[in-house]
Parts: sequence; structure tokens; C-alpha cells
Amino acid sequence: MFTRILIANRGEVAVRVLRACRRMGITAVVAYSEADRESRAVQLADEAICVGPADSGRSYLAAASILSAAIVSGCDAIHPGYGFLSEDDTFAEMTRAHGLTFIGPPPEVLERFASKAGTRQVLGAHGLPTIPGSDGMLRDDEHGLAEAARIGYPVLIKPSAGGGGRGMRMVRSARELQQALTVCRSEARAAFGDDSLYLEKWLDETRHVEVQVIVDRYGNGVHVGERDCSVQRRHQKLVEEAPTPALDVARRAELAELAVRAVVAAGYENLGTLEFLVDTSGDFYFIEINCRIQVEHPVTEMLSGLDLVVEQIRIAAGEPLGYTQADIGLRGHAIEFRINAEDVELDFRPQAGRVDEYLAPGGPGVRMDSHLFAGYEVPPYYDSLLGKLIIWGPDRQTAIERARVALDELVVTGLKTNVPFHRALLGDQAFLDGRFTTNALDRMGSAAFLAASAARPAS
Amino acid sequence: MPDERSERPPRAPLDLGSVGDEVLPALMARFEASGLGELEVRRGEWRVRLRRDGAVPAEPRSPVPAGEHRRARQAPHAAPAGAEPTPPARDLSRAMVTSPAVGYYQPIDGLDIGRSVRQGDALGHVDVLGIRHDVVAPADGVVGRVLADPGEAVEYGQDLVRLDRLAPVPG
Repeated sequence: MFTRILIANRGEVAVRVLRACRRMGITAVVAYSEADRESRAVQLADEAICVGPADSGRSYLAAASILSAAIVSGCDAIHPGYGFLSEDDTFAEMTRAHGLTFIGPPPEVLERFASKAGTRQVLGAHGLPTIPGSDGMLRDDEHGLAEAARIGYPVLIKPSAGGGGRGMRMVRSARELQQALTVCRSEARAAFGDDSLYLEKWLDETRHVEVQVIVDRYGNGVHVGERDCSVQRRHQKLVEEAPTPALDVARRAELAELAVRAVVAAGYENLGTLEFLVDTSGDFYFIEINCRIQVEHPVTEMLSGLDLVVEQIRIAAGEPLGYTQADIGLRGHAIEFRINAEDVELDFRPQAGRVDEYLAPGGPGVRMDSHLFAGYEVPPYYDSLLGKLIIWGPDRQTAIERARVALDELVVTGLKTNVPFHRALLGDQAFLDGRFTTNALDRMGSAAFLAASAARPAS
Repeated sequence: MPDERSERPPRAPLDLGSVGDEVLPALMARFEASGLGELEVRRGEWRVRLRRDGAVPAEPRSPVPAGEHRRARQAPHAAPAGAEPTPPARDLSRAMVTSPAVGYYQPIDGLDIGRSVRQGDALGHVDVLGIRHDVVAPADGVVGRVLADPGEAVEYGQDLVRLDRLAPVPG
């Protein structure tokens, strides 16, 4: 086992990893930028080391500085948290080349799963259903029309290169497709210098459901159930829960078992999350794998009793899993609310500044993972996540009731937070019925969603 | 769906509107509250540099002088500049040479008390995985104290050498 771990991250996840290190008796060294000198993780650290200025490109993302910090502080492993360097296979390789361990999948595994298209192909070959699409790139309009007819409208036209929505269009008929192909081709050529396009089936109303897996170096793997992350705003998750209300017990088990079998067969190692889209008929399609600990991992911890960060560290150190699928028990229902520094009335604009008061809620099944304290200055340079409120109940209804109480108890003053959104969500019929879909909020508009909630009589 | 904002730092290109509406006000507030003379932030294709009136333009990549940094830490929530028209006075008799990176420090030979240096002189280097980052004198002066030993592990911004008897600040 490791004796000293460098925590190469900030905010709530740095505190989360630090707690896992403490529990395991491992010395925690926190790498921080100048903007995070007064942070909770630095205060709690056994040692802290400044790696660069506020600009994350010269601190948390500066691979050489992070690795140098680990070496000069005598660490034998680096925990990258999420974001920043957490899925960077070059950094993982550098870390290993200097005789240290990267806490995550080994570099060759990260590399194998780095490309989304490649990963879909690999895991598709191991039995995961993927979104139906064209057979490779479209040769010409005629090929496109034939493929679209085979897949079934509506279809999404996607460029081979790039992203950000350019060259992308959803069409509902052959006629629309013919017109859109010309436009998409020229958009893709202008944006990426490559006008090759392909087609994917468009799913109108989808749920985002993801499966947590743990696989050790020796090919032992388990799943720890799924999480539903359908409450999203512009592709940002806001609330996550487990189990998913979208699938029944048998279908959930089928999904999770399929996922873990595929990743074990494909040679995956360490913690991972496989993301799926689930359509209205309950069919699921694999979209991507995340090779790291995720923001919403506490939802799974509440159900399983596992400490996923500890598991991640153990596996990176080469320990065998030590348990089987039969040992994994999932109990009750958990919901996580991301508490962000955002002004919901100003289109969720990120806030920075001083936190005057901070009081975390309590009670049965209530967990608050946060780096906040009264007097903390939220820097403007990083993401707006202030913490996560995770609620557990023996069933979904109890969890929702406890969540209402906890959200009312939570005090964060000095800057605006998105708590009003969460309160509104807990009064929304679609959410209460477990029918929320990934595009619901954007289709309605967040402002309209909040206005509708304000107009509802208080329950 | 990829979860960009909370799990990755924002790296999408900014449009002019969001720079003006969101980034600049937040940066300016942060800058006003700090004791820094100059602040540069890069995000995507944008680079924003804020400089206080009367501050000595820093070398493009030189770190924040540690003396100033400590002042900023003592009063992190100072009143905005409007309520306090004069910026914190600089101690003109001293300057701190700080580490440009995290790594192992190696001063040049003979960097002892009493040695005169000129602004911009390389006073040593910090070794980061075999790459040398120059330690640069921020001002003219005489070595007054040596604060780090050859071969010592240093962090970013750490005080290495104190320079005394500075020449008056130009401008």
C-alpha cells in the first residue's frame, strides 16, 4: 500500500480523497494553486505544496508541475480526482515512468478507452448495444438516404471531426436529410477541414443511466448498480439518483450485468462508469465510459456501503477486489443535489466571492460533501461546485421528503446558489413521478421551469 | 452525456459577451481585493491582464513577489479600491526572489550575502523533471538573505533570496 499520496485536485473532491487517505492511514499531500491557498483541503492536509498560479493550465493541468510536486514531497502515488488530469493517459504514463503510481486505470487502459468511437466499437463487440448508426462515413447523398431508411427517422447527422454542434443536425424525413447533408458538409469543411459525415439514430426523449463498475488487475469485476442522471441543464448534471426510476429491477440487473461483463472482457481496470441513454421503450444504448471517480459517486456509496475512493486506491496499489458480486448489496434510494454557486434568476450565471455563513443540514440519511466554511472566498477561476447534498432513504418517497427538509436547513449566504432550483424540482410532477428526461429542462427553459414552480401552491 | 463543467475545468472558447459580463467583473473584484500589482489570466483563446496604476510591470512569466503575496493573505477581504484610494505601499528597500516552479532549487555559484544583482539576472534555476526554469531577479539589489539551500525542494512562489537596497522603482 502507498504511504504518501499527492492529491492533485481542489474543492470538494480534494477533501473527499483526503478523507479516504486519512482512513487508510496514508499521508495526504495536497497540491494547490495560488488561488486555493486558503482552501479547506490545504487546511486539512498533512502537507500542502503550491504548484502554480490560479490559471489551471499552469497548476492543476500542468502535468510536469504536478509530477514534480509529487516527487519533491516524497509521494509514491498521485490521486487526480475528477476533471483536470484524471483521464490523461500521457500524464499516467509520465507518472509511471518516474516510478510513481497513478490512481486510476493504468496508462494503456486509459489509452485504449480514450476515443469514444473506438470504445463503442470495442464494447459493442463485447455485447453492449450502441446507438444504431450508418455503416461508416457517408459516401454520397444516395448512401446517406439508404442508411437513414435502414436506421429509421429521425436521424442525427454528425461530422467525423470536431464537436460543439457544428455540422450536426437532426432530420425527420428523407427530404430534410437531402437538404441538410449539403449544409452540414460545408459547415464541417469550414469548421474542421473535413467534410465526412455519418448518421446516428436520434432518440427523442432519453434518460441518462450509468453503471458503476469496479475491476481489479486480476480480472475480477463487480458492478455497484446504476445511477440516473437525467436532470440536466445544457448537458450539465444537476441531480443524480439511484436506483433509476426508468427501469424495473430485472431490466436494471440486465443492464448492470451486461456492462460489467463487457468491461472485464475488454480488459478494463480500476473504477469506471459506463454511460447509457435509455429511450422511452426501455431500450438502452452505450455512449461512453468515464475512467475516473465521478462527482455523483456518493449516490452509489449510500446504497452499497462501499467507500469508492478507498476501493480505487486499493486497486491501484495492486490489491485484489476481495469480494464478489454476491457480496454487493444495494439498499434503499439515494439522491444527490449538486450545490453550485449560480444565480438561477440570471440564467444560472456562476458566482464568485465570500461565503458569509455556511451551515450543513443533518438528520437520518443526510450527507454533505463540501469544502465550504464561513469566510471562504470562492475563486472565480474554477467550476462553480460548492458541494453535494446526498440524501438516503429506505425508499424514493422518504428520500424526497428528507431532501426537502435538508434543503430548507442548508445555509449558504454571501453568494447565490442553485438551491431554489432543487426546491422547484422537488415540487415538479415529472420528477416526482420519475419521468424526468435529459432534455426536459432545456426544452422548457430553466426560467420557465422556475416560474412554473413559483406559481404552484406550496405543498 | 459528457459532464463538462463540474468534472473538467471550463476550456470552451469564450465569446466577447461572456468575457465582458462574467469573467472581467469577477476578475476585477478579485484583483481589487488582492494586494497584487498585476494579474494575468488565460482561458481558451483569451488572455486578460489587469495592472494596478503605478505598479511595476512584471516580467511576463515572473511569479508574484512573495512579500506582496503575504500582504494579500493578511487582508483577503479588504474593502474595494474605491473606499481605499491608495494602494498598499511597496517596501522599496527590499524585494523577494521567488521560485518560478515546484522542483529542486540550484542557485548560481557565489550567490552570497552582499552580492549585487541586476533586474533580470538569472540567479539560479529550479529543476522540474530535468527541465531548468530560471530564477530571475525581480529588481536591482544586493543579496540580503539566502532563504533556500542548494538542492532544496521548493514550491511555486517560495521565497529563495531577499534583495536589499533596491534602486528607486522606475515610473
